[in-house]
Amino acid sequence: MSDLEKVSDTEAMPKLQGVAHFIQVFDSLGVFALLVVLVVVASIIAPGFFTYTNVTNTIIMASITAATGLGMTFAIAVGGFDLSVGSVQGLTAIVAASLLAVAGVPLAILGALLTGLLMGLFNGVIISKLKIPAFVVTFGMMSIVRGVALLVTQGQSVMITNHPDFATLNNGKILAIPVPFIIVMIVFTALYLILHHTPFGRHICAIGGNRTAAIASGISVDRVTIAVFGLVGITAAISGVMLSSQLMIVDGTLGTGLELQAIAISVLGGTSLSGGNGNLVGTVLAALLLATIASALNILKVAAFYQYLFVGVLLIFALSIDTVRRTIIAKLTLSRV
Amino acid sequence: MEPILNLTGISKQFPGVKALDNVDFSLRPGEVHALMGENGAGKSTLINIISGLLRPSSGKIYLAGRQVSFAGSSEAQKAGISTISQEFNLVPGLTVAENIFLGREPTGRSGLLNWREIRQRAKEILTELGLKAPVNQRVEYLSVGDRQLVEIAKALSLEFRIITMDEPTAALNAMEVGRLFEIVQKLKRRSIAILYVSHRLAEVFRIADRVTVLRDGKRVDTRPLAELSEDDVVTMMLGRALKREAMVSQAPASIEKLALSADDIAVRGFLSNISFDIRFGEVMGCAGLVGAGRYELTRALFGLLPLSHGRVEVNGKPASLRNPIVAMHCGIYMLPEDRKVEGIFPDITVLANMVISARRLGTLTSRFLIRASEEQTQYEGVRTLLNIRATSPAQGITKLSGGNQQKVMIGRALVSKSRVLLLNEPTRGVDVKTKLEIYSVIRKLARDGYAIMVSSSDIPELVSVSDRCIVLSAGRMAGLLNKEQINEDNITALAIGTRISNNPNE
Amino acid sequence: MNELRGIRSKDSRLSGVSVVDFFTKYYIQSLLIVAAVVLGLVNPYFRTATNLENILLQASFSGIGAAGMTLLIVSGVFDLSVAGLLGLCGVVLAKLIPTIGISLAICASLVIGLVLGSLNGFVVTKLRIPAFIATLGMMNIYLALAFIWSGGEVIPASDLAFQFLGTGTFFGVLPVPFIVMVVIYLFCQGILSRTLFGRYLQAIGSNEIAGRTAGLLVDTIRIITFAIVGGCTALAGVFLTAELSSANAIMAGGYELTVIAVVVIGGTSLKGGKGTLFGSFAGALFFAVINNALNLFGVGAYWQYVVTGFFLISALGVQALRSAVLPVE
Repeated sequence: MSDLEKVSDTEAMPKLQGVAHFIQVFDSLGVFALLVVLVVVASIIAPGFFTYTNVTNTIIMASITAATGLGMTFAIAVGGFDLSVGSVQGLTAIVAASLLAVAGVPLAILGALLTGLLMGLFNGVIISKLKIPAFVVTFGMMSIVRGVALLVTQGQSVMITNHPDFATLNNGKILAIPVPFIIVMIVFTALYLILHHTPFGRHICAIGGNRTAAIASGISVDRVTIAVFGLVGITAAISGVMLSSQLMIVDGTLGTGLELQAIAISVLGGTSLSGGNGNLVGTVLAALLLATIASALNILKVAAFYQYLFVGVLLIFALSIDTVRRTIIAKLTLSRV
Repeated sequence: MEPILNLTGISKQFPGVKALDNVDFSLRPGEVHALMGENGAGKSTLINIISGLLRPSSGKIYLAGRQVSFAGSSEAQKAGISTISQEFNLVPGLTVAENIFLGREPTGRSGLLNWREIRQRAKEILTELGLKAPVNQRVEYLSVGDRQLVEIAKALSLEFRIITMDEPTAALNAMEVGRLFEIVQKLKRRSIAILYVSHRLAEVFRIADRVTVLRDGKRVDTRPLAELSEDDVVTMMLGRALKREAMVSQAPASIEKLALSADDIAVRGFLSNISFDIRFGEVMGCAGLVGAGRYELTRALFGLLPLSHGRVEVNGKPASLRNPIVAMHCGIYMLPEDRKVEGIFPDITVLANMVISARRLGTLTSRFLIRASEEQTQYEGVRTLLNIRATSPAQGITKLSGGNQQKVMIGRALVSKSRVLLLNEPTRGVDVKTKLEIYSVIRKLARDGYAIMVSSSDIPELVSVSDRCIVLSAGRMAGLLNKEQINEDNITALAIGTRISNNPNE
Repeated sequence: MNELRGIRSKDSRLSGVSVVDFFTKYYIQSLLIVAAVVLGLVNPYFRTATNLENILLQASFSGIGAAGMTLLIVSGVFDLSVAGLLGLCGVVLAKLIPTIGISLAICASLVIGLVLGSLNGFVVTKLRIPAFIATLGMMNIYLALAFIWSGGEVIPASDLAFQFLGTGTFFGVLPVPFIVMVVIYLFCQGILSRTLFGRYLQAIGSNEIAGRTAGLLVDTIRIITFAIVGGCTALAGVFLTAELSSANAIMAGGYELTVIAVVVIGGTSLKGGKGTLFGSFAGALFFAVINNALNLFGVGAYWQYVVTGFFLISALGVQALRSAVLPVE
């Protein structure tokens, strides 16, 4: 009998836990460490990087991506993706700008958020009721919403002239912290609480981790999915509002490529593509990482094309790490079910 | 005593087949009621009706005296019926406590989770069950036996009155089985009724009070186990007495040269110091509990897992089995134990499923193009040999019964023209009649000169087909049994790690 | 005869529903005919030879890419990088024509397509990154490379002989690209239904794990299929460049959407395991007809985005409903 106990799995537990903890900690710490290193490197090789203006701009750039990234993290946690966030960002920016021409700032923001919510809910309904994979549905929606954005503007730009104060959403500071970052912090806090401290958040992880178990526990997968995609739509709308306040002039092509960035920063931040969990802290850190690199490349006058290239390579890199991470966990877990 | 669950006149009609025919069934509080029958007898249908996944075509269900009708599994759960299935319904990324309360998490006033209450209640239940893992441990790091306990904890926390267990010991080691049975006793003392579905006669006789046997959708009988012997139960299941002689393997034909020889092989983390050989014309059994390493051994021999040590020789020549293609070139083929996950291609035809591993030797075009008539011939030959019941080679494979699907898988091994066959659980999910057919096929193949390794968790199966048998225990070779030594007691003893009197291994 | 080659046949379930069966099995082809007939009756210009020629031409751009994509989807994965891949191959082609001549430039462009396709396959199989994300990332990379290599400008390709590929016709009405498309489809159909490779594609798409256990070279097969997609895309790029007499990085914006929509609406299941090239062929024609109609009726170009996305989701919805309605088991 003693031979059997010696090799029982419970003995491997402490070692397993240790490695698992290490991986989880590494995910967040690793990105943070990388960020610090990059900031240092950038300050050295890109003169003018570590100035107040530039750092502020970088943070603002990061905030716009981070907001959607946080939403995307939720989508990945529940086991899906939302490829339409870029188009939704563009559309909501247009909605905000258009509403500003006839109404006040609060109404414009509300309108934009509502638009995002509606797009997201629509995605969620089609995904859950028609049982079509999320990425295909949002792939189609990406095109539809983009078309709508172009149609509504007829290819023209919309300038925000009535409300110059709208720009404070982007330029303003509270206690020397840029407003966009504060917005992201608020979104982050709300989403963090939801994911880790509410039944809804636990249900999200359950669905992404083991869908059958979630259903067997009486969780309404459809309702949770719809709610999650609605949430993603809202975060995309937040990004849209922030973007429109930054540019003060919008058109139908805005937001292209946002989905890629959002996925990249989620994965880089430690959220695994297999679903079941979401590393929100990592997402924000990774957004800062991306913005730092983009900013440094800008200063070094590297052409925009190369940045495009860079995001693609970075995504592949982040995904490879995720693969390694998943392989290690699979090997160590020895699940025999 | 008044039954807590009473099914009367239950029938279930599917298009073309009557799965259940006027079945009466009852469960008393505090009893362990076993449900037995061959595959296709209607066990799964009955369980699914009880757990609310299916509605009966006719008949009534009474729960604690009141008639009920479940619209879905969640309704059945709310009524107090819990189902513990073979695939655990646990979320690996969540903790034990979170899993137990999944779907009904207690919250504080602000809507946020009440962690204190969750942890406390979870601890209470776990201590009662004897699970030592901390409640904040993520389920993915628990052993199979521990996970099952978490599932039971979940059922307890919901105060279920009826718990259905479907093959609960399939993936457990002996110690965990003992622990499970202790818990079952605890549940009985709480007046919980347990519906226990299993193929394992020995366990049923050990744990159950009554047994209901189904055959062809009808209830054969319900009797207290104290009144029955194992043979009685088998007779009820088959409708006739089992011919004991059919289960005993015949004397092997001339055993010749070495087909496969493993010398001190190891697979990192799973196996070490494994040495044995298989000769052409013999059937080598491979016994061992789940987790002992049988799975890894056959995979290593087929090139799906790397060897970390040792040498393998095939047909007298050293072989480096890096991947299945190389293994097939050496003449080895492996049948996976779970055909649904690793075996069957559901979207293609029966014929395609069978010939998919055929190696084409010859000109480039014959490697590339499909030679329909050639394949037809091969298919027919194998079909006749194995007695596969399929309406046509173009039939979708999912239309076949489990037993016939398994035969197609065996056919795939034959078509690959490999002379060394590694068969994992060759009769899993197969009814008794087909089981016997497969056994006789295995013996025929051996007579024809194939070298066959049968790895199985079904000990009587190994006893009936093997010429020799290796027994693995916790990754090591516990023993190598000769013909005369192969019996259930010896195999079980070696598998769980105790020594037997005259141990001739080495 | 098809049955003997291992193609999944529809077992006839109930007799007497053969008309409904036919329509559901060939719904895109039926839809195509209906749309074409209706439009022909409603709009006289639609019926003209020039217009029909144009439709066939437009159909071949997405159609050629869709042939390879169908095979890939049957094997269970997608490639979202084709827009960037096409742009890159087109730019390379246009740049090389002046230096090494038409034939060699075309060969180079096709080879690059094959190589990049294989690269996609490598990233998906060896790095084990889910296909649609991996190819999304690769798309960025190809697009960026195309931008870099073209300097962000439009590269002209005004060689007359080359332009024949885009504008020339056989028998006065069948555009060259269309003829090529027909050939490609016949070739791909042959691969799918008559070769072991085609059967392996179905097997891998049906159950990849079982494929490995059965000894199939899953990774190699996948990489080859990705290469085929790259090759088809590059070929489409050749014709597109010829038609536009120029190439630029974003000349095929949205191509991946169109191609996948064509395959899906043609009836190939996204889950893999089975597919219909005939369906993709009809799907390409269908989309060309619809877009042509939109143009004829003066509807803006932006509507095409909406329409394509709409059809994609509707087709998926129909597929989902069909599998829910047809009896399982």
